Amino acid sequence: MSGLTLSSFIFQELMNFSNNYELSEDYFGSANNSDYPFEEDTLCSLQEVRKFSGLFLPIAYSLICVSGLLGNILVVVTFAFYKKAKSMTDVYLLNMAIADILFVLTLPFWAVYHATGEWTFSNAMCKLIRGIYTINFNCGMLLLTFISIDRYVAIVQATKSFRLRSRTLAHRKLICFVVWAVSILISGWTFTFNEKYNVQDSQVCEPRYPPASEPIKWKLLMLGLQLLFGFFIPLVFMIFCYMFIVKTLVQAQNSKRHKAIRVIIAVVLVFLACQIPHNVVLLVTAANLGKINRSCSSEKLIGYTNNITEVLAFLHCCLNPVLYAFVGQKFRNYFLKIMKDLWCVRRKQTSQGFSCSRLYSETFISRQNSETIDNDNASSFTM
Amino acid sequence: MDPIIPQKSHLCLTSKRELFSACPTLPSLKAILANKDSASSFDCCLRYTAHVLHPKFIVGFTQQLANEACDINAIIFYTKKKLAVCADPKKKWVKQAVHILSQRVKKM
Repeated sequence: MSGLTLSSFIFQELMNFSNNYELSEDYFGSANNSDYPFEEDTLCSLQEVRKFSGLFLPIAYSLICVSGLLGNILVVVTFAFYKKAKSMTDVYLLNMAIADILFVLTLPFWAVYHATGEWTFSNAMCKLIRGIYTINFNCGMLLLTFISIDRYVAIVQATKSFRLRSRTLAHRKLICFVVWAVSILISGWTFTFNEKYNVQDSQVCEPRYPPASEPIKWKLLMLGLQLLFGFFIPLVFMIFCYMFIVKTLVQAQNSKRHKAIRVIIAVVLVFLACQIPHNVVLLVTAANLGKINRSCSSEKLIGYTNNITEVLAFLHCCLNPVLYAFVGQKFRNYFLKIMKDLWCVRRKQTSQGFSCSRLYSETFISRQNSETIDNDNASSFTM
Repeated sequence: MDPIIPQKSHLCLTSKRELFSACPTLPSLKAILANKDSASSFDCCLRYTAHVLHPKFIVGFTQQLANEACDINAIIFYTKKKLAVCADPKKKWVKQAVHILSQRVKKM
């Protein structure tokens, strides 16, 4: 409704103006210009960008959705079957997998949006899908931040104060709750501002800000929040925490330290590779916001770049299960056992009496579990 | 609300369905708006024209609002030569042209 108020306000202004002046087409002079010859002042058409995104984004989003669901569901299933898995950083990993699943579940809607060029779903769905998308993106990023802090406390601070470590680790569930609460709080605006409305004769699902206030300030504020929570906060904490972790590991006399360092480098590099390009595009967008006389060719370039970098940023949630869960020896052991069990259950149902019977026994599994947990209880890394 | 004031930012282009019934004399608008599909990458006015456009060349107009997908307020005039020209809504001639176009629609 707010948009209508503004448009009628502008029209009111236009009408008031016309009442004050005697109007005739003579005002415009003899007008010997045949039509309008100045193409540089015309609307900047991003048709070619839309053609590209209409083809590229649905394919990319589908692939991310399928692989993201697969990896993250495997993580959740593993945690659901093995209660002992919840003892380590795994509370964070479980929450991150849930956030990533909810996030990739919104991608089919965006795929349809870009393929058809219109928001074909309802206004409520627009708010809901935008909301889920933003909450879970922010939540995933904040969880990455807390995982790095958690590892920092476990590895660097553990040598200094055992009490600090045990106290911090006890609060993981509370921290997860706070992370979700903060994500919902900082994403709450999406429910308010996103709506289905008509732009250039198509129904879109985009934010629409209060018309009376400065719309550019709103747009800047939202971009700022996204950059801060989606990039700069995780970046600063990850760089700081992992730097000190690597320093500690280098000094440590542990046979597994080389693998740990490699995993940390992979975690940080993947974060940088996935997030830097998209956030640079966001920064450029923020810097250009509200400026007059932007060039159309650079708008097109930003349009293409935005599509590609966004896909790269979304790819991150498919890589999280590999980087954080499956990289761990312990997690892989749990996972393999579940796969074996599930496979054996199916074998048992179809053909009785197979070598599975011994593997399936509860005692065997629990004995194995206690061994692996005792072995690497010293580090919170599930490596 | 005053019935003279249009409810929508589109004048004469109220919706895809009503487009031609509302504007029987403006078939060229079809060509201008034929391939409109907007998701994320929107066609936006980035600047205003420095020239004055005579209303006799204008077949319709739409409004661009800064609080929506694009960043600046603008009036987009559609010309007979199928161009979409961006104009500053604060300029006198733009206000007059909009008024003249509105009158034209009212007469139809």
